[in-house]
Amino acid sequence: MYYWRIWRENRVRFFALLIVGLVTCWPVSVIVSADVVAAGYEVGQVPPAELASRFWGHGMEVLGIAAGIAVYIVGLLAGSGGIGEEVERGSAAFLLTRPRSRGYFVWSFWLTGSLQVIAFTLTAMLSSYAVLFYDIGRPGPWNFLLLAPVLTITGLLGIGLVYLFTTASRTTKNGVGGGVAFTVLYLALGFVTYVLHHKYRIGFRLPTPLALYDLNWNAALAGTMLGWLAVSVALVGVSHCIVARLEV
Amino acid sequence: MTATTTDTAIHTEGLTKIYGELRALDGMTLHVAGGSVYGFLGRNGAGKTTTIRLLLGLARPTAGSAHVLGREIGTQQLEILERTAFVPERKVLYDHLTPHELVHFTSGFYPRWSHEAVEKYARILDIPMKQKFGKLSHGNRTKVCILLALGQNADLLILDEPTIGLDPVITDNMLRVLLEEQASQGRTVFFSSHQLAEVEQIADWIGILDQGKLLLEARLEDIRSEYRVVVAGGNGLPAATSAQVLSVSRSGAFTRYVVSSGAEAFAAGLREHGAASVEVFPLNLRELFLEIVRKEELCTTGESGEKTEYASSRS
Repeated sequence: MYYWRIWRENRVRFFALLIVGLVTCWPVSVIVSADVVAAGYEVGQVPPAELASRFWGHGMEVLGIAAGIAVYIVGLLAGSGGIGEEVERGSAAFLLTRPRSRGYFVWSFWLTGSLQVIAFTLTAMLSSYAVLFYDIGRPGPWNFLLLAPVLTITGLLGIGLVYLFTTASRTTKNGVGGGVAFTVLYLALGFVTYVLHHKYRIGFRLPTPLALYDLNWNAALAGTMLGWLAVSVALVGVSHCIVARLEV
Repeated sequence: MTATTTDTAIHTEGLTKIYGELRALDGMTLHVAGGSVYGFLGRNGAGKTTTIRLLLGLARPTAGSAHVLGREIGTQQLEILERTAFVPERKVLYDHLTPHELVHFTSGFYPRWSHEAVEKYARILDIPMKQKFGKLSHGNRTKVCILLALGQNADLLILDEPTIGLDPVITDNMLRVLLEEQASQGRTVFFSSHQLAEVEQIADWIGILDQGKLLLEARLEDIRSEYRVVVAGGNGLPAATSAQVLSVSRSGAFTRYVVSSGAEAFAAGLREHGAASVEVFPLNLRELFLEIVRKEELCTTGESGEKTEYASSRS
């Protein structure tokens, strides 16, 4: 029933997200078809394999950036709710006196948010694959599939972060604001440590999820994926602890 | 499915809740018999809502223990919530859902949910089931909250200020539903209020809470038949002579005693202590409440300015 209510509240946004997911293929197609034309081919004409591979590589980069930013925003939206929002609007006393554990409400909300992220990711990837295949004329490489977990983990990080801020602050506005501010600060700090570490050999490089977008499959990427997935789940775990102790 | 009427529905022992400097509940010991309609009275900020929040697991006690339907709060909370229906003080649900959808949503949590009861009470309470909750009047919102509680077929109904802000007709309707349909089936109704008239209308037990302390817990029937105020004139009268004296206040040359039983014998005792004049008056709930709770006013209007003293009573 809780799932039903979340669906009832989010269904419009869900379909809007799917449309955004579909639209993601548009910049990917525009940029890659420009590549194809610049290389002296027509869109849909079959180029040599190595050239097609280059087009696909560029297409995946563009998709990674466009869908990566979009899916993070999807995550921020999908995470801005749950118990924190219930407290904000005054319905927490009603919800938390239903015979379910508080963990049920926390993780059910997380699950529905995750499904939204996955749905968005699949829509963006499938539509982009279709237009790239049409533009380039050859099927894409297998590591195109790596974008699925990478984008999903990006979205899950957005959910976890905003859910934690929403739960802690008990308002959605502060939750989203806190999530965005933290993201900007963290990435800025990541950039600074990157520069200091690589240029001046000072300190250490702060890990950021941007490392996920190096789509060369190897053990390091697998570890990075698992690590950031664990971080996204841990953020919800912290929210769970807050909700478990919450007094309303 | 109904609760047995002989069981204890709620029992608290030394229940305490402290928020920073504020002792919202101060060692409260409360006993609510199964099958009773218990009116939990107190002024604003007396600790009524805090008590309810503790019982339902919405807050954790600082000290003390509480059992609801034989289950310990905190450790057996889900079992308590399965058998307890709750109407919060703030009637806030989901604005975009209709009462019909709210019933659909809530019913999924309760295996014992009664759709028949919902249909019946929706008809009796005249609830517009297809209108969005956010568009409903305050009265209709309250009715929806009561409807959701009644549909649970719960053994215990906990209602926090259920009739606050309602017009007399709606109030009367709801009280009738609560009394006739619920209490008559052996369910326990525990409701907080400061509307003394309505409490008197349906409750069979009352508890009076003030500043986090339970000052009185008694059967309403006993209050009507036994409780008296004894007004005695004279100097040097005793402050509190026995456990039956619930409160003592002095105003000028007169001393007022609220006694839970044996008023005539108590009056005779005062005469023996040298009271110049002694009169015994019956008390209704409102008068009793004021006598017990309005201590500051009584003290400040009295010439002697002595403090009112209390003794707890368990009938």
